[in-house]
Amino acid sequence: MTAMLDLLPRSRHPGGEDHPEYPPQVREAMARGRRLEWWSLVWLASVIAIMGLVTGQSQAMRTAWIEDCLSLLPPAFFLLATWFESRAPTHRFPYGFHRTASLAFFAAAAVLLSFGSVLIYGAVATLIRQEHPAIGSLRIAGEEVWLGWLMILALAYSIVPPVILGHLKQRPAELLNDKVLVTDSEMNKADWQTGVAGILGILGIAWGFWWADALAAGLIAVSILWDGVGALRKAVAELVDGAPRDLRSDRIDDEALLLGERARQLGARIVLRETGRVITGVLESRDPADLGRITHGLSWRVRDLSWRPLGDRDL
Amino acid sequence: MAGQGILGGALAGLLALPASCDLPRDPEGTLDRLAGGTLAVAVVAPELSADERQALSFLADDLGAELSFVAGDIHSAVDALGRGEIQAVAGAIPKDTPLTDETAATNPVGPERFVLLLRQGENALLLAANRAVADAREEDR
Repeated sequence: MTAMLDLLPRSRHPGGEDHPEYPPQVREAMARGRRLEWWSLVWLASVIAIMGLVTGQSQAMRTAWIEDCLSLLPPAFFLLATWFESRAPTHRFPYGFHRTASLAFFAAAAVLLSFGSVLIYGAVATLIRQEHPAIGSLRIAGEEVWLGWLMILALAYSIVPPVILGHLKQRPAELLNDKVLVTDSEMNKADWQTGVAGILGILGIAWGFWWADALAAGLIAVSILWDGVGALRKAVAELVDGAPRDLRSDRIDDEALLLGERARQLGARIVLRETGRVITGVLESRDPADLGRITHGLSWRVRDLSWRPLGDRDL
Repeated sequence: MAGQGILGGALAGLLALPASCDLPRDPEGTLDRLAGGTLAVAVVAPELSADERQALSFLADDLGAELSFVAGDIHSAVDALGRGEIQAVAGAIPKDTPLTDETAATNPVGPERFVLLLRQGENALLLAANRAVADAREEDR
């Protein structure tokens, strides 16, 4: 038991401050990001509870509900990863815990990918088997109310909190250069598409088009899979020490390109990688003083660059 | 933002439609065909309970259909239901029956909480049947 507890890093950085290596606006963005992610967990829990009450036999509704459960993962991983990051390096982890975010991101991406695949299979199977969804009714205030209308109301509610939170998370995500937070923000902002697809699926059933529900479920599943694929590409690029990528796309990060250009102009070679939100690497050249020549005007993200003599490899 | 406003307005309009458009509708048009037709019910127990009879009778009255009973075993009845040859299956079917994989169950009726089985996906008929079941429950009190 105590051996397991040893896995958790105990101490904060000397001086008790979290992330002393980051400038104040980044630390503020971190605090804001954490607050928003706690709020996300609360609001998503309310959406999940309300949708869970009315889910019933609609496949689109079930798929949307699963997607909402999955969207609890990025906030949870962000909170966990930023907590680890705030711990000081230990004897067993002398490089510290910057990479926990990358691991968390990879885990979230893998989950999205698996669920997306399973749900697409489910939707296609339903369409092939030509299953017609049965949606019943509830007695409310002396009237028999079709459950489809309640499902639509729940789906409409499910659109609101994630879209608002997604927009609020955008700024801290950019200030922090945090891939988990930015992916979470984009998934939240796109959540309205899931809600609309679900609503259109149920309206389709109301009009007698039995296939509308499975089709909507399939589209929602494709979007989950797409999110998973995009996130997996970014996560893998970082975990295998790929060149630092831009926050939102697969392009190489601008600062990394700048350092590469500066190194080339000196006849040197630089290899860079990302560890969490930090860029680090090695400059290979003939003169150790070259390191000082390329590291002016860089952001807080570039840390701990080292130097080694240029080898016999071709430049 | 304007796009989202238009979307909201469209959704609100769509939600207001059901009152005027007699939604939901049946994919196979079962409810429409029953008006002035025959409501064929397969009875899969030796006898129907008073509550089940009453619910079916209310449903037939609401639809303006003639009630007709047919005896049979549960499996052939469910098959016939799926082909549209009959419109309901009744007879001491419990609420948690596994047959809901292939059929649609109404809300439970009577103290024993039995359900009536209808063709899966015919949601207009299911709504009408649930109304009849609720009316039968109120009659009981």
